[in-house]
Amino acid sequence: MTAAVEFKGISKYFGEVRANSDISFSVARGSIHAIVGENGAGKSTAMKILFGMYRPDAGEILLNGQPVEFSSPIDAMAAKVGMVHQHFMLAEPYTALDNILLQQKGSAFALLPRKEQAQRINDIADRYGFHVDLNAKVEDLSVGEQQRIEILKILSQDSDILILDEPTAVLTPQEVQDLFINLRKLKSEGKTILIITHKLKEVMALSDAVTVFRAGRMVESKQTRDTSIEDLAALMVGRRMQMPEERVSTIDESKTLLSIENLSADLGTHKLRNINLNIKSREIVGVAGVEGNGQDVLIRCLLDPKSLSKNSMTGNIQRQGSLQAFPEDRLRFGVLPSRPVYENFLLGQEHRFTKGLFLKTRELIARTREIMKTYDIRPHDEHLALGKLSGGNQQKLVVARALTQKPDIILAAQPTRGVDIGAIEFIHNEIRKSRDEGAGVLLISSELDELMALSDRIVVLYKGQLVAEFKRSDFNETSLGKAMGGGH
Amino acid sequence: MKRIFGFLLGLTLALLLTLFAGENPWNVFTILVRSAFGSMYDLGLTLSYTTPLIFCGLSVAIGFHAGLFNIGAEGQMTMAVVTAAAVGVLFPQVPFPLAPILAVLAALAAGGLWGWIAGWLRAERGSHEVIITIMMNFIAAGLAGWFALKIIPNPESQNPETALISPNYMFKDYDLIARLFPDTPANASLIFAIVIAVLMWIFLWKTAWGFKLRAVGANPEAAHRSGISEKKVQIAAMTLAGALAGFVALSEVVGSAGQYRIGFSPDYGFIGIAVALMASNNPLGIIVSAFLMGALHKGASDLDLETSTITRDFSRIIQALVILGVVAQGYWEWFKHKRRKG
Repeated sequence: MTAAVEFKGISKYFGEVRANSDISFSVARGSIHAIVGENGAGKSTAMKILFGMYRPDAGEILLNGQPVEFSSPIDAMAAKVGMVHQHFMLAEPYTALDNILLQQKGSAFALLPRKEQAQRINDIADRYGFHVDLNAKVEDLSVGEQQRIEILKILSQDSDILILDEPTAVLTPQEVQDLFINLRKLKSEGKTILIITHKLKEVMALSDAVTVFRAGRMVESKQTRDTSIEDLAALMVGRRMQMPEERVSTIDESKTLLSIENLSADLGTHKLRNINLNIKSREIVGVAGVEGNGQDVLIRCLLDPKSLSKNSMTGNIQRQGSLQAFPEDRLRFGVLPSRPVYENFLLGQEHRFTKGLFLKTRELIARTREIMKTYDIRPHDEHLALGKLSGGNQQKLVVARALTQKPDIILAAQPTRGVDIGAIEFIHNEIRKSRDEGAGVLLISSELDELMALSDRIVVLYKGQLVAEFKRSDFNETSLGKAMGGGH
Repeated sequence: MKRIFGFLLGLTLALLLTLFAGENPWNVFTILVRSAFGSMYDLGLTLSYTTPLIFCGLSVAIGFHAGLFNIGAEGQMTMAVVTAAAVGVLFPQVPFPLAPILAVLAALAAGGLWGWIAGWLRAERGSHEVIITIMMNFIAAGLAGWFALKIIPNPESQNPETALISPNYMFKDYDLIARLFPDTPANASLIFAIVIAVLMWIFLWKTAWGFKLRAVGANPEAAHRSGISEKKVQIAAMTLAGALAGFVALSEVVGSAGQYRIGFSPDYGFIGIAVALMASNNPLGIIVSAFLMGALHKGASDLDLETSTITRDFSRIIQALVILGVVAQGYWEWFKHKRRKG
């Protein structure tokens, strides 16, 4: 049987950077094939080549044994390849149906009466289990529902090969379960599914085969049953990962660093209601929750209360000592992508590198170089524009900038989003180190693994309220996941 | 001066256009060069255009560094020039070294105020600075014209201009550059413009304030999170931009003409945008690009006399094509960068 998709010696260069180098692997028809690798390993690039967004510099792609050459996603879609991007491509003010039909423009399908089109899409949705209210506006739908619309867009074009880029990143654990059930249904109907992910548990649970990318190369491609999480992790990073710590709590109960009392705030779209939370020295408190449940409001209240008018924020926030934050959205709030690394290191600590009116540029550059070495921020070039670094390295700089200022309180918001496994481990260890030195940490994250690995206790934020609290001894994924989905 | 290719491309295209008028492009080019640099008189005129272009280029550039597009240099400059003239006409008794300083400080305040208004509206009300500064240009033109013609008109002339300022305000007697280029408006403020450009370079790249300004330009939200007040920076940047444009009063009123003449500016404020773009907003590059644009402007002025079909308005065409060339080069670099990425 010929493979549904075959990569043959695909290479892709961006300037000097080898994003893909001699990638070869094949995907069996009617299978779920996971593509795993750290950020920047080249997995998205490879999928974008398959979907016609990039053209390879060398090599070829075979669909069902036939070489194909796509110059744009339109060609790919015509060859029945569809892709769901990590960031959805939906027109939010329009209905689900409008969004799906928009995709059909120019096809014979588009000539059918609207009623009939809707009927057909309903049939497809029924058949595969992707239920959405087609007449609802996209902006009123949950992230999980929006994802279903994206998948319906592809299915309505009768695509045989589906590429999903990090589909579970934005979903609640419950939604992930539903998605997996539906994907298996698609597989049983003969569809071929490629799924990019870095969550190895999901790979084991869902996929038939898995291909591992590392540093632009394909390092392994095998049947999922012949491998294990430890195996895959080692392949992805190129070395064995250390096991998470087993730690005895050393919380300094006598020293409260941050206390939040009866905090309510309203930012229009998102609200907070009656939040009470204390953070002690040497304590990490995790705030779990699917994004959009008030995390942004909480962060604003802590970092920038002045920007909230008196009536939109009530309650009390008390702080003992200095606070530093890792912003939840690095590119938006954390860095100056077009500026060199050393200027990014300077941001927010200008006073430490000024003498009179002037910047102590030489000292700043020396210090940045030192930091880049201790935090292993690559490439070791402090003059490079920060945007040219990988996500993991950018985040390491953000972490380094905050932690080298020795804050008493650390607000770590999504500290490892879009960061590769090696950097995740590093950042987690840095957070632990700061904690051991006496800092209190408020960890806001939507990654259960991260929350469970770091926190002394976890509170769950749902629709602006703290709906549940778990002690370290009671952490378990199912009940946490339930609480995050509102089912406490 | 990274954008020199764009400049040359625009110039070449403009010269090729003269073919349609039946001229020889090479011939037109030699006229341009001769007219811009042919004699001390020509060079003096070129330099006298260079000075205000440096100031306006710096004005636009500091806006860009803070992420703001200052199209209002023309209006800020106009307000400053008419203010300097007003001070010189209304307070003739002020003694010499103090007088020009007073006039220039008043001019900077007026230009700064004009920039501040746009900056404040941008920061506090969210009004886009492009729209505001364009409107402020019209207001400045109207206001300055009314003031010049109704309040302090020149009684000895039919021209639309203010009365002459008192001689105490002028530094001609001490001006070596003016002596070097007799009969031209070239004056020592050129040196001053270069000094200001160097100071601005130091400010932007060597001081914490300059860094904060550039940080706001690079990513206002990240700057805000790091504790920089992006509103204050935006207001300060527009005020500085206005003051920089206001320095034109130094070369125009105190340095040469001794009055505000309506229409004295061949759109310095707008050519300043091209000057800044050509230099990628680098203050030191702006000195060079202002000189090139000044030369073009002066060069084109002799086309009237020396060719049968081409008028001095041709300099506008050259300017337009040079701007397009510079922008095209920027776009081309961006496009190449993007293609490399994907």
